[in-house]
Amino acid sequence: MSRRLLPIALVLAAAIAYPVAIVSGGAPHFPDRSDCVDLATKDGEIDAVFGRFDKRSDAAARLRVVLGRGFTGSKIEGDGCGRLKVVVHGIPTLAVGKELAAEARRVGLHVTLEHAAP
Amino acid sequence: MNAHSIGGLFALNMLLLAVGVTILYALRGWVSWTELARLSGVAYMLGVAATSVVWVFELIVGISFGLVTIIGTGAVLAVVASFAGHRVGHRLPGIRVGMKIPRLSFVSAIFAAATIVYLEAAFRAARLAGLYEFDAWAFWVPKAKAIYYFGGLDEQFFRELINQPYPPLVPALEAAAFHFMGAPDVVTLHLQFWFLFVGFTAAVVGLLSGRVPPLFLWPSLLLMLVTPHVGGHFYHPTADFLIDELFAIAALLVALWLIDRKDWQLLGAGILLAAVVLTKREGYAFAASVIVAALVVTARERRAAWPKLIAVGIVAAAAALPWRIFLGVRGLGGGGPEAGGTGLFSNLDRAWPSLRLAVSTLFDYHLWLLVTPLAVVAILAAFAAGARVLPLYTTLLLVFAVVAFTYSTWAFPSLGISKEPALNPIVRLTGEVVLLTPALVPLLLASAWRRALPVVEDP
Repeated sequence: MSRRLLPIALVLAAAIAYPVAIVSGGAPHFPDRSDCVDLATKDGEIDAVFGRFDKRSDAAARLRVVLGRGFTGSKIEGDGCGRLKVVVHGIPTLAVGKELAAEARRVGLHVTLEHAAP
Repeated sequence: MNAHSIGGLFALNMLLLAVGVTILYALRGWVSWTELARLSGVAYMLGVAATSVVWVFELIVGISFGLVTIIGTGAVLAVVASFAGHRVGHRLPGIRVGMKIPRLSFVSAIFAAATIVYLEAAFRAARLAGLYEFDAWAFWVPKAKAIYYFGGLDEQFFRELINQPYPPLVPALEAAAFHFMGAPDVVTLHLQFWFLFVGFTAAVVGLLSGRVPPLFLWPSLLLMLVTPHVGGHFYHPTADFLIDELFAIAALLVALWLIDRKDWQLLGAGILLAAVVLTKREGYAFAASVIVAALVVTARERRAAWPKLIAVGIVAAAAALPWRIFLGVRGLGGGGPEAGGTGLFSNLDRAWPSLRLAVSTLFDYHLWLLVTPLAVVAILAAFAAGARVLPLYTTLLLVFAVVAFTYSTWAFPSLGISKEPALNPIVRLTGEVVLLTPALVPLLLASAWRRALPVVEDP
């Protein structure tokens, strides 16, 4: 390689090496709405979420079902990612949350236990 | 936020670059394609400045701001500039002219590689940056969203926002970005400011490479890039860095004009300064400082130099006129200082603390590392070596900047004497000097070392 090309090759190598090194760890991650779901894995401030919805009417329909099956305290909130969730706050431990989830399953509802948003 | 948004932003910036290339063709042309590549950063900044100034005029007269207007404005500017360039005798070089690989020293290569990797890393930071900066979410981006949704400067909305008198160049640019992204994606929007910063960096390199030794150009550029405040803030969707970038390139073009006396440099500076005054209120002071500094250093040749400099000043000032009239018509007030004019005398106790704050912020190592001391050393070295015009010009720019920074605190008694961003915008203001440094320090050092400053090979 001629002395003229060597410096240019150095610049090109650096310009390519950095993105290649980054991409080698996996394709660039574009956050999506699933990143708003922070599943609970340990005790702490935990929410029980009975579903996420794009339309308020759908969320309201689910809320009626949830309240009708005895989960008082449920309400509709924005999830910070442009969707609405039907949620019960204030679950103190993961064990209590799992009991609540089992209870929900028995009455035909699906619940996810999530860390409460800060 | 997705690849589609990034692709949209890329397309918008290619449009701005294309417009800028035609403006460069009108102003000076190029003798080879390598030369055009070298000046592509300047072309991009000219494209950003000219296109966004016209967008502001269109918003003021009530033209609906949509994709058709955005692209149509660029197309009209490109056609007019191409025609003007052809009329003044500029011609495109042949395809094979200047396709040679440019000569690059190892010093340049090492620093260029570091700069590119820095900018690539900054891309990653900007791609996922949240809208946390107060000014960004409080009024810059809401204004842009209003333009995006309503197609113009909605009277009620703009009246209710804070800082109504701020000119809408940045909101217009952000609204254009929203249109190209296909949605008001306030996260990916940060990348638009990454593009602007890359354009600024490329413009500095393009204007100075080949005329100053690489060891003077690259380290000062890299020093500016790695300062804590630059690295953490240049991609925020506010006007603070854009005004500094436009101003620094305009000041550099005027500095080069002081050496070369090529008219295109002054014309280019005029376009950039027009955008400066439409970006933020302090743009008036920034633009005036460049013109006055150049007037002072050309006092001995005032007959030849002053009419051109004054014409540039008039062009920049005239660009702000429609916006000032618009503010008057809508009764939005001029956005003057709380205690300007005689009000300064009733706040005399703030004068010294304001000056001390301005100077201490400029020299704050934790904000700007050693950028300002480097500028001072370069000025002293140039004076010591017998140079006069460039060091005096730079000194005046620094002095005017300190006066403006001092005034900004002194004339606004509600601002605290503090570097805390929530209390005083002094840190953001001082970015003007910091971005100016890599543009002027290499020229100063080159003149200090008595290196030849070859006249650029303009056609």
